[in-house]
Amino acid sequence: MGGSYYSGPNYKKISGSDFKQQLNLTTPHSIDLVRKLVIPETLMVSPDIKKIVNTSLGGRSFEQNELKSPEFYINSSSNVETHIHDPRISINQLYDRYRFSRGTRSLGTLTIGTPIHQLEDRVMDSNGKAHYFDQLPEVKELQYRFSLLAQANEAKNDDDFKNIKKNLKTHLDTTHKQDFSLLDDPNKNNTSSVLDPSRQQSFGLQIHAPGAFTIHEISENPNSESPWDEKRTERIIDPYEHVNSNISQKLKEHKNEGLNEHMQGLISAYNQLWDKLGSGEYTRHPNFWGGHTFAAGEDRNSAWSKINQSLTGNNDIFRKSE
Amino acid sequence: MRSYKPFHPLYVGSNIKNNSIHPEDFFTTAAGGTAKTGITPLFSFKGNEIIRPVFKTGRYAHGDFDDPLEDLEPEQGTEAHPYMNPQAMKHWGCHSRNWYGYNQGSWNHLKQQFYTQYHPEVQQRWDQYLGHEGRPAPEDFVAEHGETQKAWNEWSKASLAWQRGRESKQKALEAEGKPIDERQTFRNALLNVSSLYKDALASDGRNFPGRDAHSALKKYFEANPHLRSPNVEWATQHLENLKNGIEDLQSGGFHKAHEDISNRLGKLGFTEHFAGRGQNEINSTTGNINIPKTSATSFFWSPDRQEPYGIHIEHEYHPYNIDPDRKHLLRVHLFTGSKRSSMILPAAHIETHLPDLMKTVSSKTGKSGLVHNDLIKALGLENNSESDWGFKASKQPIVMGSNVEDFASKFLSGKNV
Repeated sequence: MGGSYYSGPNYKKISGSDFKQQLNLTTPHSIDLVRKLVIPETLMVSPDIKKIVNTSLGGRSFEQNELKSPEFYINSSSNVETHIHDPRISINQLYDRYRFSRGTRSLGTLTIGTPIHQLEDRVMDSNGKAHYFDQLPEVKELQYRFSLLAQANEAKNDDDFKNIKKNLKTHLDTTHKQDFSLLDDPNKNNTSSVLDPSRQQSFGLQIHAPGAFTIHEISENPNSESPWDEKRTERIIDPYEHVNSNISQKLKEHKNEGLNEHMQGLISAYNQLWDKLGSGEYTRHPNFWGGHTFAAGEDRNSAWSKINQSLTGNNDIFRKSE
Repeated sequence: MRSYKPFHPLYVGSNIKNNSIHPEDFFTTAAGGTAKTGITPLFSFKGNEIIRPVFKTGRYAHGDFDDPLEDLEPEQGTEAHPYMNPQAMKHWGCHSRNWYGYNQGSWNHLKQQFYTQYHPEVQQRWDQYLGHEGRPAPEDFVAEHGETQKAWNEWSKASLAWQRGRESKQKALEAEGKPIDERQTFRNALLNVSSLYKDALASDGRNFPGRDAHSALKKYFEANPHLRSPNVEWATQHLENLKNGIEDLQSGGFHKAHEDISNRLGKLGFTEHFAGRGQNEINSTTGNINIPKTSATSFFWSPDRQEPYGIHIEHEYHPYNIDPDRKHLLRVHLFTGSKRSSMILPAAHIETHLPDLMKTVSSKTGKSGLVHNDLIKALGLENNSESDWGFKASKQPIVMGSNVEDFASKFLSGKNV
């Protein structure tokens, strides 16, 4: 029993300093660089689930025809129990070893038949191929560049910036591969992995933005005569896993970039995206979500002012222009 | 043979045996606890380790490892009190309100810890027969089938087969009559200790730690007498220590030592008055009269109060230990930014070890932008969670600009690029 009763990392941020450790994934979520998932408001779900789905939408409304079909997820079997989890973990939860699904908090179960929809945000490229918006190369670039603004802001010079990037822990640093995603996504590569938040080394890493969630499925096999734990099969679906992978991957690719290159990259990705949307090289799906920052009817300046509004309203490291 | 482990890795002494954690002390320490509001397990777990309980004030050492609510009960100390009177206890409708945490299921975690620490060979045997060895790994199936439903199905199948295999191994072991620990070390030790508690504490009908486990184990050893090794010598010694410890406590032993420790730490620059809002002070309304109400049991020193670096020391009292060096231990936490390292020092080592530790902490000041959560707690700043807790923090907000180019140029201005 010698030594400490303490084990594992256990710290809180001093505001303003935590950026050196954590990727800021809130930003891409709040400016529509990440797909939005919703549960139709007419359905009865628990207030906690409702809240997280609403946050995911950024509090903005959508039309019924802007839902992508078929639904992103639906549980139609009575043998399967579906929980929605808040994937973020607190220090207390981390140490609560008696908790089922230790590490994350269940916000409640979904009644059978409740669909989770993705808002339609696909675009067609010039070859006629459809892409999810958050998988467009320019958008992937923007996800990374916006996520890292906090670190860039902290950095005093290029070397400092490179150094901060070098020390960031990312999604790819956790070797624990746990699950397969339901996403039938043609662009998905097989190096992806789902973070297991119960593993301590991943703590301190804001892998999920507020408003993100994971879907936990527990299936029971009623015919099994084996003990309780053998009857269960658990599966975790992380709808934002591809975004986390992308940002981690880009962090590796761009590890030698300085501050100036980082900002130039942001400008050029932003302008290229608008150039392509403007020239018709990217065509939005007819039901593309109307509330989207990059929806039809917006241009690069109006979208920027929307981004400006979302960031200054939601994130205390951003400030309105003077 | 028992193995003895020094209670601190830095301890170099002539008598390792007396200065080590005795296997059975494990239970005793687990049985004591810090009283908290409501029903709280009397030992608890943090990370992978059991939090060592501390006898902080006298009343816990008497066997009333109780919640502070008891202080507020008018019948305290009289026949009418439920813990003093079996009839009244029944009236509570619950036999173990006072001993929540001592009953059977709770010992399982303790058991694992016990074997890991004192009999690793048993732990290994457990792993081999009942543990996770050979469990199918999902990534192997992904490698074979890709990220497909098939991979998932195949893994599920293999996983179930593996679990069944494990079960049959277990059944085979049971059929052979070979338990994992053939000598039943844990059960023997637990019965020794719980019997002791029964003799020492429960003669007046009170409940006692390990009551459920005690009766179950008694039955078990009645059926398997060849496995029982009572270790009477240890139990007698242990009881003697416990009695002496209680007497020492009642005669004000804690006080004298605490005053001495407080003086010596004060000379080094530690203070007892550091917490934000009366934390670290005993708030008992009717606590032990031997201990003044304002007495702190922890100390703090920091090279610079503007920075999250410092040393927090908790004085732990172990009245049942015979070795004077082990009666008063200092749990020392070094906070350096986001890191904390902890150690246990005998009070005798204050002058020899602490100055070096203080130098270490000073040399690291200012090198981390983070603060350890437990330092916030120790300083009583928890309710300030979103502010900067008074420590230095720099935060330069990002100005968004009117368009993307304007944003980039504002962002880069003032930076050395």
